[in-house]
Amino acid sequence: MRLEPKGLKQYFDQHPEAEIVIFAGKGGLGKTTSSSSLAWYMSQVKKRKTLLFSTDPQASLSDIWEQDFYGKGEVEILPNLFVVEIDADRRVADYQASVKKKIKEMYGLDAVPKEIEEYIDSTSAEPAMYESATYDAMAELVAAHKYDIYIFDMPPFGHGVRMVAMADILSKWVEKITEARSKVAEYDAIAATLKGEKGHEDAVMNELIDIRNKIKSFTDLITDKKRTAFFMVLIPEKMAILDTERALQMFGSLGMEMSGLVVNQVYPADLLDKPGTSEYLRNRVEMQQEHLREIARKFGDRVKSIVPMFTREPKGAEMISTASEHLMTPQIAIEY
Amino acid sequence: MQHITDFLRAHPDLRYIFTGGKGGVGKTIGAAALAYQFAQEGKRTLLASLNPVHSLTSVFGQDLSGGQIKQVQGVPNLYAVEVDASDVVARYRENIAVRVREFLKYADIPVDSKPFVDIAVTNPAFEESAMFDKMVDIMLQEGQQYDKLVFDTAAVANAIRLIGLSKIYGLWLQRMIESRKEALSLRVQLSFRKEKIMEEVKKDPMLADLIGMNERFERVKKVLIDPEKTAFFFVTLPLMLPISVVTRFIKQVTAYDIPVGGVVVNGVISREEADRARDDEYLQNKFREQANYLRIIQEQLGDLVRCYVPLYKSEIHGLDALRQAARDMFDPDQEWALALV
Repeated sequence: MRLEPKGLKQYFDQHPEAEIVIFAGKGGLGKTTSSSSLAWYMSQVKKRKTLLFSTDPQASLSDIWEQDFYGKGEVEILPNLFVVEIDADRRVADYQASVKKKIKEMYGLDAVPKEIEEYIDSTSAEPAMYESATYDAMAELVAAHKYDIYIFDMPPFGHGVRMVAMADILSKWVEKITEARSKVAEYDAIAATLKGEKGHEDAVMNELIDIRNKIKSFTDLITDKKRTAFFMVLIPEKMAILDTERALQMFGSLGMEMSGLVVNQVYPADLLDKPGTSEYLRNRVEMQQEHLREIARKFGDRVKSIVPMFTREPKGAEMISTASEHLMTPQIAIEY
Repeated sequence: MQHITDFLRAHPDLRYIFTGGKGGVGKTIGAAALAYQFAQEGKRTLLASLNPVHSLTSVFGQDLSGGQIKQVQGVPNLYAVEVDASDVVARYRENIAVRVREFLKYADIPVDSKPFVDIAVTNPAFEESAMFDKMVDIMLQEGQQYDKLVFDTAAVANAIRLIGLSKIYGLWLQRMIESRKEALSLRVQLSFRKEKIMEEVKKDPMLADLIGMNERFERVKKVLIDPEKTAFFFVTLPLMLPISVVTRFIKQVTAYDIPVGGVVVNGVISREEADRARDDEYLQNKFREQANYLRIIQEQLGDLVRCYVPLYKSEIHGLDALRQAARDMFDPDQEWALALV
């Protein structure tokens, strides 16, 4: 058997309406390289106005493009190519501050109770907080409609599908509360009228509805198979294969579809034939070959591209354009 | 730098040792080498892997699977366990379901609990939390029979959450006890005895559960923030992403008073190794890039670096390879690596 992926070029030729591309997967697998490569292709080859977005702490996009974008908003680095790297830490901190403020307003307190305050602070360690700060930022950017295509390098937590599950739950939750609240609001309004007051807005309610609407419109967009493509990045290692299987299951259970897989950091097999190859590398290559066969057996045609391990870290526009060619039109096949 | 041997000498009562860091940096090797060293020094040691995919069996080259504590063959005083998560996860799921149902009932929210349970268990951190629960069990129960417990686990976020949660739990518990007391008042009025009231209150399964959890939290928290007893060691490679993960972890645990033991820098290519592989373009480039990252580690984590471990030719399988790793890790002469910084 032979697996010969046709590359992301074929995928996008077949899906011309795709305007959102999400790269999922754990950190350190070359997600940032993949998203940068695709952004290069879309902006430089296809001449589309492209936004490349990342949340990785420590500014890995800045690292790859050899410029500092961290927390600086949308920066144009090449014609048609805009990059934004959000500071998720800062967003989480802002979010926590706003939660505290809301608690004080809603309950008419001078200060948030100490235990609650400490708990809110401790949630910043929660990956889900980063996730939701990230989704917020993504939703805002997409809602502004300034670009032809948006490429998201997802944070290395979870698989970015939870927002879909969360939207469902939140909708149900808001409905239930709305029911209960509208009853209360009726009585309130009657009471207020009797007392000769104006009816007051229900802050908690509005807040919830607002959150739900935001999540829902973004969720509708990313679950639209025509307009959104999800790619998962993996490397030929046991852990990554297991993670990928899990992510595929999760996608399935949410009725979503993974557009494809990108296998990164593959050492050329012919290194085994070169006398100068160190024993360390030889062992790596042999191990990878085994995992590649497993990837072919397990995922088959889901694999859309296989990108080689470059002799040095892909950095700078020139390296990115090379990596881009491999991603769009791969040169590697797997015999299994 | 304070070498790991000096650090351990300065903390003789250390009992709970954690290794943390990004996936794939060699946390398991770090934990195994530490545990091996403790056992060699005559300490009765338990090494527990709490990862979703275990690698102790392959590191030690012997079957340590099955979720039972086993004595490691060939290393006196060393015991190991690959904790089986499946039963924990199932039980945990059930527990969460019960708690969510009870909570919704308590808060008087007339809503189906199933979706809430679903969202709780689709959380990528869910399995991690279940494992963390298991870890707490080991710390409080089986662990009492060992001098040293070494955990190979992704415990950072969980440890922090536990500390934050324990405060909320205490609060919630107080409220629950009050409301249960009120609910009991009728029956209690008939019984007229104060101690009887508390007895009745404690009989309530939900409350018993809460009280039990709260006590557990409190006990673990006490241990987790005791620098004489606990140390988190972080493992990194000379690469940007693992360095940034470790830097962030250290910031987080420090904010919660969790003691940091230090940083192990793994996978360092020695000059000797680089000289030997002149024609290997990959290795040569890696060696060149590494210098920059070692400098960053020095700048960002300097005082916390406890040792450098060389890059091995192949993955660590079996006791011989592990002994070598422990030897390298605990070798006070770190000149070969310091010269590269």
